[in-house]
Amino acid sequence: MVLTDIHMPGMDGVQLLRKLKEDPMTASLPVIMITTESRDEIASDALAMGAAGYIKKPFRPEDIKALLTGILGGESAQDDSSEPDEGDF
Amino acid sequence: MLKTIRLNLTKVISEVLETMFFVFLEQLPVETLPQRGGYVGSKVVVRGPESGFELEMLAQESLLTKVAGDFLGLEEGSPSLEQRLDVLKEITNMVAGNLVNHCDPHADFDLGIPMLTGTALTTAEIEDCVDTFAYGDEDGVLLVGVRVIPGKAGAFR
Repeated sequence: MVLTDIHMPGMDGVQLLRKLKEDPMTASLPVIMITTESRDEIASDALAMGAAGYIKKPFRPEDIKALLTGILGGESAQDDSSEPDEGDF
Repeated sequence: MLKTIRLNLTKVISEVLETMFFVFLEQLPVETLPQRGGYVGSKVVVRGPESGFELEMLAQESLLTKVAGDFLGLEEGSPSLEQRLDVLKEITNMVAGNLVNHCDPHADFDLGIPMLTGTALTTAEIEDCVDTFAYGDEDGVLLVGVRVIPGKAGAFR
């Protein structure tokens, strides 16, 4: 799983998301976007590009926990036949 | 825009610092603060549809050390200078981003990348600001200055 700020120097989070989704090695990694901006189009653009979720700063620990639980729970529901390898979450 | 910033800055500072940094600062009267040094500064430029603003934050080292240590969950030792500066830039980013949302949640704003303005700064660093706000607790003081960037210079299109 990748948690990335959208707002970063050099390569921003949206560019990072695009690169991760273009690479077959990383395309299936769930990516959560973190940002200070609340404009709906930023969230919808990120989700349309394949982001697994979106959270706005400032957030409370329980907010990020709920988001992560939802995403990880969804993943395990889709792939509950495989045994987790050592080192997996 | 300046009016909206004046109306919302204290609320935004509280939301950001209390929610993510677990810090509860009181607003202090700027005019009673002594001229003194020991501040670390960062600033960010926000360009809006018609004009923009620059937000500069000066944090006293003592306060920043406490906030950074708590935020990073350090149980032993003090945060490094790099960690302290990163935390100050993160606070600046969050305050500016949330302030913009209060200005106009539907307008396009270009939020710049926070930059370090220096270490061992004095309060003179933000004396040219049109508005200066002060917040603090027993660990130290956080000063926030706002500079308006009028017209095309502050617009991003």
